[in-house]
Amino acid sequence: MADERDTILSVEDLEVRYASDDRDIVAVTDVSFAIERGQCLGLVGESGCGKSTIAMAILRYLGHQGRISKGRILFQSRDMAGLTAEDLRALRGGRIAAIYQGASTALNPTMAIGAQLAEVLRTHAGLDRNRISDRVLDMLAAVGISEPSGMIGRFPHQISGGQQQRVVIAMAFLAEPELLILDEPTTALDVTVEAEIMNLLGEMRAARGTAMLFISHNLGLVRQICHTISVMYAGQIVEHGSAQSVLDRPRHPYTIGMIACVPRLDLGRADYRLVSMPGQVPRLVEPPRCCTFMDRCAHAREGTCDRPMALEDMGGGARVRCSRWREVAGAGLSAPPAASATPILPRRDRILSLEGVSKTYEMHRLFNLSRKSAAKVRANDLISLELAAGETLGIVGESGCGKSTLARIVTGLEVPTGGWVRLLGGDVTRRMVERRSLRQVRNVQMVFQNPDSTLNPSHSVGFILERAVKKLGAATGRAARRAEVERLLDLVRMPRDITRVTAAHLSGGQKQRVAVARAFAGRPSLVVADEPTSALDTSVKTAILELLLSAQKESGTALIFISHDLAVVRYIADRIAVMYLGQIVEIGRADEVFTPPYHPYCEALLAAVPAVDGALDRRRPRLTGEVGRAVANAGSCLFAPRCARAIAGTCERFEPPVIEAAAGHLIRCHLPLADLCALPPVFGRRGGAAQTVSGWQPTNL
Amino acid sequence: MTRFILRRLASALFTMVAASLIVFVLVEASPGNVARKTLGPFASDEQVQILYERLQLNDSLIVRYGRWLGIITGLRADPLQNPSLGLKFHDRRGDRYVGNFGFSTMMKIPVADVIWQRLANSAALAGLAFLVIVPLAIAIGILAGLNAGRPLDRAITTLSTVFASIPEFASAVLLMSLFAVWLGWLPGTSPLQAGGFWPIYSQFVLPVTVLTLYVTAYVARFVRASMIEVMATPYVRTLMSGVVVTEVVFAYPGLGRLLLETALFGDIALIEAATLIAVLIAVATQLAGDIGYMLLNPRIRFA
Amino acid sequence: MTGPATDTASAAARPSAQPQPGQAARRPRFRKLRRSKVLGIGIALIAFWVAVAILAPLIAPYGPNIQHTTALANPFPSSDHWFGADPLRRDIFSRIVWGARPVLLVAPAALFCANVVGIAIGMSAGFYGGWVDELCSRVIDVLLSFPKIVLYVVLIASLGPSALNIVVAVILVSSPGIGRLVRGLTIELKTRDFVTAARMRAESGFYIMLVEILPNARGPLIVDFCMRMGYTIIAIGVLGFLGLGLPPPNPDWGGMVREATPMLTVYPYMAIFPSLAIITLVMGFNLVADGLQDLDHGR
Repeated sequence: MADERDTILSVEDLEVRYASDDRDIVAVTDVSFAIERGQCLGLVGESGCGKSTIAMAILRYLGHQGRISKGRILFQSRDMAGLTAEDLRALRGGRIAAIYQGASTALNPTMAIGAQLAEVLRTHAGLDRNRISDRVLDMLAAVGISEPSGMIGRFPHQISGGQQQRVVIAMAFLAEPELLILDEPTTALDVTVEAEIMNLLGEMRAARGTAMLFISHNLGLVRQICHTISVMYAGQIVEHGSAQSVLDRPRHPYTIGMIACVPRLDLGRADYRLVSMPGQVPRLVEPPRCCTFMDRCAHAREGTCDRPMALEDMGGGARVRCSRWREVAGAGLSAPPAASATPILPRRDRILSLEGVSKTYEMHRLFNLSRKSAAKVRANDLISLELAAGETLGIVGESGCGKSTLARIVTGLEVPTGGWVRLLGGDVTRRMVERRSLRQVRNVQMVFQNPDSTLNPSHSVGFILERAVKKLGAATGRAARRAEVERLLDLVRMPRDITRVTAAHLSGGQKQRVAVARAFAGRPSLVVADEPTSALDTSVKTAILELLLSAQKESGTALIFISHDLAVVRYIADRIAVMYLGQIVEIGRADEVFTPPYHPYCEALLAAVPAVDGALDRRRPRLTGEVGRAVANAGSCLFAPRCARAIAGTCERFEPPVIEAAAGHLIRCHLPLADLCALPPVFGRRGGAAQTVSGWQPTNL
Repeated sequence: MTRFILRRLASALFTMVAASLIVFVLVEASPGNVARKTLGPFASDEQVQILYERLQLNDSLIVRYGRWLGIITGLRADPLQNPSLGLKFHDRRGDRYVGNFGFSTMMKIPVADVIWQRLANSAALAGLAFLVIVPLAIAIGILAGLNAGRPLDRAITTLSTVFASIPEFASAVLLMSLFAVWLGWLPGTSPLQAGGFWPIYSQFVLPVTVLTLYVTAYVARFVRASMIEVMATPYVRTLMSGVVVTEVVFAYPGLGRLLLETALFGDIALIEAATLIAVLIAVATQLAGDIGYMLLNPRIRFA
Repeated sequence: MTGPATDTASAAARPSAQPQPGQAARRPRFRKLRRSKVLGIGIALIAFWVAVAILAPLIAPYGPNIQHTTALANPFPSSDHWFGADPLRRDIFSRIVWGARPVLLVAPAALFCANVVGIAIGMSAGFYGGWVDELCSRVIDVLLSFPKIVLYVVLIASLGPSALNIVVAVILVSSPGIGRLVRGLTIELKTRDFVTAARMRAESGFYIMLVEILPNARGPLIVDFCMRMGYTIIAIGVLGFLGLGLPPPNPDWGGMVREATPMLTVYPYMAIFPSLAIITLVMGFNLVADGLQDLDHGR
């Protein structure tokens, strides 16, 4: 341990309880850690593990129901319990600052940005007016806002999410905090923006020596910024150690399981297998009397694991809450050999083809009905695609790239402004779903992103599935439908007696399972899944992916899988289309898209994703700026303003050609194919790394 | 911004026109009734028949509505003033002016002679109540907000529920029994006549209290349901509803009591006038509220 | 456990691993229901008046319209006439008991009809949008621009006072507000993915509105119904008080206050007892509305 004075925050034997209807719920128990000046501690774990509760407890934001029932929190050696409400108010936003996921809620919508930032200085530093405005401008520049003087007069709703988060960071650092609490600060942002924000945070910490508590479910991010990591499970820290040791040599079965759940960017589905974790995080009503992970643990042993677990020192500052960690580590991760690689399917019957599809939105200004077409925004621009029966097409891109619009056009929730859409041999270009034939409607189904919105909370699982079977399936008669519902439940591996449960009472993962079952009820030709796993926890996410794959195989359905998560898409898709501002900039087989030759945008995207695997050595061409708005008739490469490899005088003036790098592998770029082939792969690999899967070769064309 | 205000104005105008149509239809749907009520119960059937024809009451409803609107806006002459009808209706303003609501059959004078004074009286009552209610409601809102979830907040909630459960006439009767009958501190009626035992100002105390109790409680309940933005309008409409009842209880010479009396009597012209004025006030407040809200909210202002 | 094992599969095998969702989630609601004092008092008040209305013949010592000549000399409360006698020497206690019937019959029936109309208008406006929405919203705006009592007075004055016309008036006055509420709820609910899923099953608009959307609007609608019951009972009382209520000699609480007001200086109790009847009944519904709202927000 370093000098006493260098310890900014220390949490000792913390226990937090929430008052519930009749008894308390233990949200956090037996948690101790310390953060020193300039250090960053990562708290990781799935939702419901108590990560955020710790942050709230430090700031004493526990509300009326929550209370610290045991232990203490020392900030700069001062017990926080002794602070008055006045002291606390001065501390929050002053010497302790916090940044949360939703930047927009941290900003006052009715106040200009500059005024909000100035207020921080007035309340916490007491500077005069000129000094304040200088400091505000300096800080806005420091967080990478290109035109600080233009920013101060704006209102929060007038700037993008990434810029809002920058302003929030500026606000936090203006008060010159000793401790910065970051609770999923980048979860709502795109990968490229996320990468920039993470860099910014790292720089700010290095420059100012601020101690940080970083809360995230994203192991890659944690690896990137944290020195030490505490893995939380069911309110306890189950493993603690340096970032490297925890992620490269995990000891606790939960940590091992979590890492095994994360899809890999550098490998395809043929090369490894994701392993999902069974079960759910339990809710504690009293401090646990056995290992909390016992129910879900493959290594659990009667007699050893059914007594309270203590954090055991493994040496070198690493601790683990598992009595069998030596045996567990020896067993290693025995992922079964990969499922046989799905070969690219021969072009069987095409079930869907899009030809030059475009969608233009007219921007309505609020309260402006008379002047109709003030500006046009293209969501989709000349998209051409074909999909064969049984094939999986992944679509990736940042938010606003038009991938959801594409899904809505395919499913008939929107009509394109140009081009042709053919579905199952029929023209559906101008047909909303209400005007499609029964066969066309039945054969295209959707899986949605938000588990809380996907099922009608008033209906029971049985009603939902039976209705889907009745309207979509071939089964006639009550008994046949019941049997079909049972088949579907088996398909998504849910118990049959769940039919009586109302959808509102299911967990997020269970809801998404039922949604998958509903989509596959009529054995459709095509299922469009729009970010089906992005709202789910890591372990549940993996289970849903496996489910989609097996359901798809069972009914021979084609799948369009839309996601912003490149690793997930790589795992599930046969072919991948990468979209940028309404255009497909690259399309090809999964392995082709993820290795050179690739579009500079793909390169940048890949580089932006933080990897869990420390063995991956990456060059990272930084992508700066944000996704702009595609205004009509750009007449240039839309990516050129952000492209590190743009050819001056060409890219911003002419529309790029489509290069055929290989059969079916198309890249929309001005760079010659030879240059694209010569691009260095984003992923290099240092020799002798952990978890190397044999037989893997970078595919170079 | 101008566009927003213009749109609101247009929509307010539309609402007024549509509301006037509803009023007209409700009151004058049966034409036989119109002639009978204009002449009163003692006129012979023959006289009623003559008036029916003179006023062209067998025309379709929409045509009659157009004529009626023309008279009110001063574009048409009021046929009732035609001496050949022998009704002896005479208006010193002439037979064609803006706001010509016709003749009150109950009072035998032009509606315009009586209605504006009554409106002023009602406005005085409502205005006084408003002066008490607004600061009170704001204070209660702030108190409840600062103590959210604490006993004081809950007490305010419970109290506002209790007071919102007491109809104005009931609180009026209870307050009257207490302060006028039992204690004798205040007058039980408010005819606004000077020179009596009770000075004019004392006649306002009970009516204003009755209005304050109900409207404040009502508003507090709305605030609780976090409907602050849309508050201005129900506020004023509730106050207007309250004014009608309060005026009746305290025999206050306002527009509300006039409306009730004319409704019971069947005085067509006065019902129409009083109702239209009430709607006009409600629509005008809505308009003012919308524009005020826009000025306070940058998200709309800068859009 | 390795391989593509999944959370629910193992949950089925090991029931301890997971709370049974159905039962676990339903119990606390009932417990809260018992714990909410506000809700309890409200329900008790309503139940009291409902019982009074049903058992009126057993509770009331006399018929509502019997004139007691004996009460002429002493109309004050006595052992014969607990709440005294009214100006027409009828027993006030009996009239209040009998008077619970028309209120508790007319108000819910009228509001039920108003809900049917309001839901139909609001739901089609919100669901279909476009000109349907424009039309319905305009009608709602216009009807809502009338101060309620003014609309009631004009309606009853032109239709004539009767129970049926009160129902008609309540429908015209209340359904626009309900419509606006339902329209807002529908616009919000129709963006939910389960509605999109229904569209992708080729369900009819009618099915989507009735089966997918309406059940999810029931929470706010029930609260709204209780609050509206309060207002409607007040409005019926006010109409009675203004002389536009149920035609005499029906026992009508508002009418009783009206008849008693001129004699307030001598016999204040004649007005106070029926006033208290209205206040307690209205309070019952308002408290239930508050309690239900607390349950919804307290989750």
